[in-house]
Amino acid sequence: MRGSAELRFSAVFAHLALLVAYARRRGAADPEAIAAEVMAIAWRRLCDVPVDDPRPWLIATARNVLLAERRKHGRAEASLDGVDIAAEDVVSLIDLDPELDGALRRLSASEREALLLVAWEDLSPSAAAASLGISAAAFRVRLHRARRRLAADLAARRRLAPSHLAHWMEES
Amino acid sequence: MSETTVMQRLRAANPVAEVPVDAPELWQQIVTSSGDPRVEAARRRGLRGWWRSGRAHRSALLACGVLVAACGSAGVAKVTGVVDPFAIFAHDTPAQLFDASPGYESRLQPKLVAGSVRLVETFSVPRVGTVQYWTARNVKGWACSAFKLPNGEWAGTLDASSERYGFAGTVPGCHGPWITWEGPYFHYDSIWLGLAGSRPYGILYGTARTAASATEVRDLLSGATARVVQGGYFVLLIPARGRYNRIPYVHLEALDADRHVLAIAPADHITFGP
Repeated sequence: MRGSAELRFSAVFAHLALLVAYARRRGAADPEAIAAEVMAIAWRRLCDVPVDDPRPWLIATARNVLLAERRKHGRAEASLDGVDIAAEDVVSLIDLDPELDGALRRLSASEREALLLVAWEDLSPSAAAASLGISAAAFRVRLHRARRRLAADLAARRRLAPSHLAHWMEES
Repeated sequence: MSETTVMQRLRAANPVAEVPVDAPELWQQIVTSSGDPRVEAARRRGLRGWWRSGRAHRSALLACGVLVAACGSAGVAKVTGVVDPFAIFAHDTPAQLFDASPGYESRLQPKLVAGSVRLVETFSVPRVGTVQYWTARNVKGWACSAFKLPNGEWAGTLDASSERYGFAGTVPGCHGPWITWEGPYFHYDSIWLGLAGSRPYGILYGTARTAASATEVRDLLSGATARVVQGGYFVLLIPARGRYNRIPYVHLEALDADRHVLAIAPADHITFGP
């Protein structure tokens, strides 16, 4: 049993770096511990991990672990009963340039996560949709709206900024 | 700024590059812990199919040869001092068992809170016998759980013992709240026990945490009940049902001594099964 299970798990474990990076990007205090936790869960529930592409499952699990960690530390409110996990606004992003950081924070949590899964985790829309537990069509709509809102927000800030700052913001 | 430019800018602002991680120790810790019992179940189903196939005799001869070789290797390993990571827990005290648990949280091996190890419940599983439920707390506040089987072995530490009692599950181990089902009132996980040829039981174990003192936990779907002991602990036996001997859902409620409902958990999908 262990031989075949380990063989299968090795394909999952190969994504450890992805999990460390994901946890770090989402502001985890101990990203390596989060990644290790997710891998331990994947080993326990190996039959639940998709064989073809485990990344959506791993990221969804990492998100849950992060949420649980934050719940535990009192940074989130209320229980999860009946709440869409992806929609919970508990993600704290690692330091970014202030303009982009502000614009991302003004998005809803679900829109922000949709953007970041594609831009930072490099997931395809269908993989990102699987990670969020929604249909690919719904994800594409969410991604489109998020992209449009972010672009509009950044453009609006640029119009308000003095010209030399606008140039600097464009450069950044 | 166009939407395409926005995505380019967002990609360029990625604050953390993905760099390869070499973690052989983590790998070793994880794969020596209890894995997914369904992998073993699938393997058994595969073996049954294999045995019925026309190549059975030829393959059986080959398997016997491999078995003899493996037994020889095991003997050599014993002589040369190689220790089976599961066997070392076979006769330990519960405290040692939890401290060096091969269960959920082997990566950190957090130390136990002194004096927290205790036997919280003894219960009887039909056709299996009397089983003990032991718990502990570690310094991170996580719950540790272990079950002592009727033959005195710890469930999940010896393959032979687990096989004998049809055990499946991920004990012994200490785990954070996110691994088990976590709600405002209940915190539980599950194992599986049952002899071949008899109806197996799913065993929910954990705590009920209600403002008033709960005295009983009941599964609304199966009707199974369990008493709540000191500390809010309970062990609920739910007989398997259905075509595949599985328990797809549970729906727990906690009651006080006057049979008033104190808390109800949402219906929960349980993934255990033989």
